[in-house]
Amino acid sequence: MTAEVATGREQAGPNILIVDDSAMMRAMIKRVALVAGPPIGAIFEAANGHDALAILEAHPIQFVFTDLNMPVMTGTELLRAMKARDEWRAIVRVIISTDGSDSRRLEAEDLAVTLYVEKPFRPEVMRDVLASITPAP
Amino acid sequence: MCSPRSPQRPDALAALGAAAVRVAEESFFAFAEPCDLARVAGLLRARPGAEPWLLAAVAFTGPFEGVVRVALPRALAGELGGAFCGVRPETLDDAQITDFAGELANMVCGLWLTQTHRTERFALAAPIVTPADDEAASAAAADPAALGVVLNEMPVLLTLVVNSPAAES
Repeated sequence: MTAEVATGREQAGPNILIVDDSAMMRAMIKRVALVAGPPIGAIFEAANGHDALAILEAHPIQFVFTDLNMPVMTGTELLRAMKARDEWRAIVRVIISTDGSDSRRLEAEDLAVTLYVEKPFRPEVMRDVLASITPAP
Repeated sequence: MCSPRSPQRPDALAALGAAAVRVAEESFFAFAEPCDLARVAGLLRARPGAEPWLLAAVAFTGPFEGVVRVALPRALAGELGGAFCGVRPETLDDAQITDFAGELANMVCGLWLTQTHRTERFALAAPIVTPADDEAASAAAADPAALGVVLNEMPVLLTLVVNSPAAES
């Protein structure tokens, strides 16, 4: 399982789970979240939906940023699994994907997705996303 | 006869090049522009001999199917990967550079399909990245179906293969 606690400050703010099969993309999102975003707690990483579910079972997560196209378990399958669990209803879900097609966006609406970010994106887009979904201090 | 859903090769290649430029500019703050293959050949001649390259391929399926290939010098992949993650290129290991090359091809392919076929639904396979050499790059540059892109003054080659028979006509 590819999962780690990146910041070790689970009490400092909302915890984030980044799900993407590209370690470099996860690193980029993590860097932007740490540098440009509002105060956050721990950052967890998973390379697919299956690993992400294991992290969700084990840790309190407030935000999930997920890719769609991933091996083992896709982002869509992950979001469907999350929707089936009442205790995860409050988790903010953000899709970050190269696939910005109309049908994917429509599907996302049915999966309780808050925001849909298309790759490529400038780092300030991620900063704005974090600002928009993080409660003001 | 051409399927209305299948891309015409010259238009598709041009759109693919535009997607690569946008990915480079937005994700890596790089300067990029499409160029003809003669310029790519000139840039290749100016590169160091026996330079390692990476070939990243992303297959897609949907209303039509095919493969997008991106070939670039390994040094450029390291440079862009460093800019992408905010680290010095020399700190990246082989796995990270390979991963980055795959993600680059994934973004180029995904953006191209979204921009040109937003109402269609495609599935992208996981990128496959293989090492290549400058001889393979020179051969690719001689392929009239390839498109050159100059990225930070280094050559990048894009190739689009559409398997739908209608698109080949």
